[in-house]
Amino acid sequence: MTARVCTLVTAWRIDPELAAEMEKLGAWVSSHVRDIRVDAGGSCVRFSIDGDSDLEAEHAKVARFVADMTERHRPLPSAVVARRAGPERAIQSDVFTELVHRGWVVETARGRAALRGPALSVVRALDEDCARVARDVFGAVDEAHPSLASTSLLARCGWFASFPHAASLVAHFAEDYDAIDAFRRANAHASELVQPAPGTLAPFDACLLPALCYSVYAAREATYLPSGLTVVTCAGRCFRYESRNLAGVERLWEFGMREIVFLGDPDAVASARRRALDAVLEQLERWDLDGTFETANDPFFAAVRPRGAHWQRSGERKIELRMPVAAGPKTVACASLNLHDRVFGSTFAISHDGAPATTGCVGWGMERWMLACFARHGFDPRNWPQWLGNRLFQ
Amino acid sequence: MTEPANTEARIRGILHRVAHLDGPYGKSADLFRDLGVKSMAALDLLLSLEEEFGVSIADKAFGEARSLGALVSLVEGLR
Repeated sequence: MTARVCTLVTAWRIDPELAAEMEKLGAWVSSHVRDIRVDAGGSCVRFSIDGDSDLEAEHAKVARFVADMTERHRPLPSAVVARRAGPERAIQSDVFTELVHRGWVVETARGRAALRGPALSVVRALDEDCARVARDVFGAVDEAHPSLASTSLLARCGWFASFPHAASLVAHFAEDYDAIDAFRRANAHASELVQPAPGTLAPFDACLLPALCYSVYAAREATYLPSGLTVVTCAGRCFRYESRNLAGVERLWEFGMREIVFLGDPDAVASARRRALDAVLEQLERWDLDGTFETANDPFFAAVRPRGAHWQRSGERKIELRMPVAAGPKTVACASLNLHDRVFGSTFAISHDGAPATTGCVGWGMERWMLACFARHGFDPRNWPQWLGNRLFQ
Repeated sequence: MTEPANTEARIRGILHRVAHLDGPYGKSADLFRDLGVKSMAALDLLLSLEEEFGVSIADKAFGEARSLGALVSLVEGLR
């Protein structure tokens, strides 16, 4: 059956920033609902429902989603904190296609990409540069943490309460010889996974980390920090399920991240974030890239989005570095600088000067930064900063 | 009951409703740091104050009013 196009008139005018978030989060509303779009005036939401589904139930689901996003929304527009303009040359579009064509990026599955050649070199150079900033500017201690975390870690960090839609839970079989053998037999000659029988999987006790800093806090549970600022850096893989929004290396399910994590008193952590912003601005100079630092909020699940977004935006707790990855006005967040108040210090009983520690972090998204580099500098080594071009295109 | 005292009682009622704050607590205690009000409850608190008192509260001013006493002063100043 053909899809039914529907319109929902909203009681409030949806501002452009909220509309953009709504269209992105709309991917999770239903597998039968597609293309949730806010009209230019912000007064109605249009979407399509698969013809073979329960139209009334699907329409009601969209209405609940829209109400959750809008009813307690308090507009706090992004504010530009700092900006750096790159060279005069035009930004290149279709960079992802060219990277794939050259074999430097291989899309192994939606949301997953292998890198090689200069694309891999850019990511490695960025990680080394970030690690140098962590070491030289902040005297950070280097740590390594596994990507596989306990579900209780993310539960305690509030991830399932705030971002359940993006969670990547890891399943394994319950110990049961017959059930596992039945699965083996079903898959013996299959080229696609034959799903496990219901009830054969153990309760989820592991998940893939969506951000590195959670492990840094958990590793300090019930400890007393030394006086002054504690700074840790780590690199690793992060996982955020993006549903239909997965797109090239711009929006991956699995991506590389480098973080610098700050723990201490509120003033010291806020000051460290300011210094980090200056350090990333200097990094933009070294890499000769365009970037705009803007106040922002994380993509909270719709039901809690108004509260989470207000908390982050009202206190300027999240600043994103947004960079162009194609010609035109669109930018993507390639790094973020965050303050968490005492949320994690309290959760993990990390003490500093007799109080729960305040925390903050800076995180770089490796693949997006790489994409921004090729969009900015293209594929001719002469257009890259010399120190970088010499290294990448050997 | 004087007006500020009435305002205080009404804000205590809101704090009880949106942040489950019970029992005795001082007017100068930091709601988030000392009394453990969850950051995610801040918007509910803000919207409830606006609805209860029929005022419009600037986000910046709300962010700086972190105690019961400060909220009373903030609301009284807007009425």
